[in-house]
Parts: sequence; C-alpha cells; structure tokens
Amino acid sequence: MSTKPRVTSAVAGEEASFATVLMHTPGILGSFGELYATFWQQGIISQEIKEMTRIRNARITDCGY
Amino acid sequence: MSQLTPKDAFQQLLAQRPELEQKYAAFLEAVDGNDQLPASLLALCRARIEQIHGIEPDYPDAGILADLVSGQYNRFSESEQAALKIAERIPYQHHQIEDDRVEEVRRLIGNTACVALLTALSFCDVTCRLNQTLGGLNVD
Repeated sequence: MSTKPRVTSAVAGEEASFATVLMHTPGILGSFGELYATFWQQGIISQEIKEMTRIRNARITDCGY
Repeated sequence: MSQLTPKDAFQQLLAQRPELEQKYAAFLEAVDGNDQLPASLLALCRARIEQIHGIEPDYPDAGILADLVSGQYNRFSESEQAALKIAERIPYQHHQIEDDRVEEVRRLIGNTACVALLTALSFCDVTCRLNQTLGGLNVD
C-alpha cells in the first residue's frame, strides 16, 4: 500500500488529498460529487446503514482513506 | 418480474432510480470525455479488468483480447503497457500497485490523464463487481 500521495495537488498551496488530486480533472470531480451526494442523501436506505456498510467495506479492503 | 442479466445488471437496476442513473451517466461522460486521456488506452485497460472479473469485454479486436489474457504486452505502446500493469492489479491486488508504477504512468501521460485513468478504472472494477453481485436477481 502506498504511504504517500502519488499525484500532486492541483490546487496551489493545498496538500494532496482526494479532492485536490481530483481537481486535475474538474469535470470528473464535479460529476462525482453530484453522484455521490445523490447516492448518499437520497433513497430508502438510511444514511446510518450506508455509513455502517461503508466502514465495514473499508476495513475489509484495508482502505487507508 | 424480470431477471437482471450479469452483463449489465447494474445499469438495469439504475434505471429504477432515474436521478441516480442520470448523474452516473454524467459522471461516465466526464470520464470518457476527458480530452487528456486517450480513449484507446482507457478501452484497453477496461477490457483487461473485465477479463479478470470473468466478463467478456465488448472490445472489437479478438487478437488483442487474447494477448491481454496471455500477458503478451509487447504489441502495446509504452504508456499502454504501463497502464495495463496497474489495471491488472486493481481487481484483486490493489495494495500491490507500487508507487513506481503509478509514477511511470503519470510521467508518460501526465497528471490529468493519470487521475482520469485511475478514476475510470476504479469505477470499471466497481461496475464489474456490482454486475456479478446483482446478476440473476429478480426485480419487479
């Protein structure tokens, strides 16, 4: 597993993070944000269940993020 | 009642949530429409990920598909070979993708294309997993 950002931040003065790296492709970042927000905030599954399964998935896949 | 097909179960199910479907389509369009990322490179890497998941890629060249399976990458360009080395590890060996491999792709195609490629391939992997999970499910 990498322990350092592999692509630099696209935002001057900001450290590399999920958002600042994706800013290299603003169109992708924007559309991903809208998709993610819709998925997370709407639907019949509660946010609590979504968050619980997200955390479980992150642990199983050893997600450092 | 209909049964979701493994090839495109995720897309079939998304159709039941039009707003989500529309935003997912917009996201894919942003990825595919990225002018820094060569479409041929993306198609090649997507095909390899689908193969690893046991899905037959919708790809026009059977010879290339055979070479992907056998690991014969000599016919591909330097950037294609570098990208394929990452793509083939995304499904089941994502923690074994070394920094050097990503750096090589970044050097060859640039930051913007590298970010677009890694994002696209990650979602290709997700889509394959969802299709396998949802395939065969009966829905109203």
